[in-house]
Amino acid sequence: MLEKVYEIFHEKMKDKGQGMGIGSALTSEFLMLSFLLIGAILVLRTANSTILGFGALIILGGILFTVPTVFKVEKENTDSINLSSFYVALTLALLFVIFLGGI
Amino acid sequence: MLNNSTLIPLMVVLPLIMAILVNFLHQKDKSVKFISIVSLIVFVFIPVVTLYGVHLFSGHLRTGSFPEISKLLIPDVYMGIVYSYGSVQKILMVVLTIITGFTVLTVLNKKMISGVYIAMIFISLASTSAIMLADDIFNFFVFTEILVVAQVALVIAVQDTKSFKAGFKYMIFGTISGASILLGIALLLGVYGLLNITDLSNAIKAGGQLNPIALSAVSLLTLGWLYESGLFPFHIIKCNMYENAKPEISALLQVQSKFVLVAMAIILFRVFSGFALLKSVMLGFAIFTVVLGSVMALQQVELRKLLSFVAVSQAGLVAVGFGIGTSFAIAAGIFHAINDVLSMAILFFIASFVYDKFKTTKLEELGDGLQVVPLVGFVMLLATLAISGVPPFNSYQSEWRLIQAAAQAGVPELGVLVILLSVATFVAIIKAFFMIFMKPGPKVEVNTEVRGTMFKAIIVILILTCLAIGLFPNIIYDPIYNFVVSLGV
Repeated sequence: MLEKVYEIFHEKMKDKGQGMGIGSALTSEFLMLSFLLIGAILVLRTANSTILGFGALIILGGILFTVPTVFKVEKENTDSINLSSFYVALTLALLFVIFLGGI
Repeated sequence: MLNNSTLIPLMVVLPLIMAILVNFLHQKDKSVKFISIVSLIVFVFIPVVTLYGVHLFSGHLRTGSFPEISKLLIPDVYMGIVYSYGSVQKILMVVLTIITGFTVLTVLNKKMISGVYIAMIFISLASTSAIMLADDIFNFFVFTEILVVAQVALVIAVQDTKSFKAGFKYMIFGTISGASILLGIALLLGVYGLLNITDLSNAIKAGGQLNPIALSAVSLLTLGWLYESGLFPFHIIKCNMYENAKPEISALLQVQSKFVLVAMAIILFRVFSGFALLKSVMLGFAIFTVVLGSVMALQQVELRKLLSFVAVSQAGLVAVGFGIGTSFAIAAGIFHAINDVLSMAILFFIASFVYDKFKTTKLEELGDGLQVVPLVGFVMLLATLAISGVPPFNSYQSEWRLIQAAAQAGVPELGVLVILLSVATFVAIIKAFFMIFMKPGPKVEVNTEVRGTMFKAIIVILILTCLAIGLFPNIIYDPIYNFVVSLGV
């Protein structure tokens, strides 16, 4: 998958300009992967929880199979009120679970 | 003669009075212009001359011990509002009033003299000031609501469909977060019978472990904090506001959001000082915001949208300081908030100038700008270096401290995250710089009537301030660090 990444970006970026557009999208892809890797290392190293550790590994493994990730991130980061409401509800639920459950 | 405690509430009351006044004088352009300029001078002057202290509005007596915590006894509720003014509030107030001043001057310079519009800017200034000064959690809530209304009014004043949509969405989620903050306050009032933040902090410390009702209050208040700060999952909504406001207003909105982030995080830390999980949760949301903001910024092809995402990701970086949670990290986070709002303000003012001069902010349609406005291009390059944390500019000092704080706290991975964010920010903005000023591109229509003398003066002053803070960081950082240590969070 990784060796075809430039072609995938070229194809997906047709309507968004070429050259510099593809370059910055590729940069954001590598940044995204770096962030995820660092995040996983942080969780694995500091979290004193087997569930969180396994969770981090599964998410990391899953993401490596879904490269490129930036287009999916972009799709989820629209100003659609439905998506935003969903994430707000999810966040509120998560906050209650974390604080009341004490994970 | 006015004493110090009288001057403290003037930082809130005076902008409100002036807002009413300029509102009444709507369409009397000369009067509005004169009153606005005089008011701005006074607004900047008051925080500078006011000495640190506390203002009691109704003879509130601070309570020392709380032997009996639980029942809601309304006669025992201490309703007195208190404003406290310390070194951090002073620095934040000065920065806020100066950038508000620059925004109003820009608005006046564009011949957009409207009493109502200026009134909304003054109301947003009053609200942000009250949020930073309030030592009463209900008073804090009231002003967050007023701030949301004023900000939305400033955005919908653009009067296009996108700005109406952005304002409407911001209001919808504002109702959710406002309700959650108010419910959180109500739960705390139910458990402890207190609204004063210092009293609440003392009561919670005396009460030992938080009960489930207080924990629910923490959850609700944290959701409110995420909204007010524009952190995940509200980053898109906030971004939409920045993008659809006039860029000079976005410069002001991002200052207000970051300062409210700082003020509310300090309140949360003071009230729930012994609750370590809160810091971890803050850190998690901060990292999410940093990652999403910077990744999204890199993909943008429109200057205002790009800057909006950068502003949001930088807010995440401020929150990372709070999430790490040591005194050093919190001080670095507050320091970064100040540094970042200055650099971001320059970039938004440049976006405003670019829009006026070239009638577009779409990067594909721009080019060859350096031949038209070399000074603005040069300042944008310097501002890009400043916001990316390149020495000798100010953000270098705060980002370096954040990296140090992360390493000291035993999480060097966060230091790497800060470096990656700096790289992402640099790449995103230097791309915009290249496409606006250096790319040989289509000849865009240049509005020769726009000379931008005021813009140029503002951005030069701001970049020099960034440089001065970068060279002498301790003038700003030391009072912040001492303040954070005194909080004992």
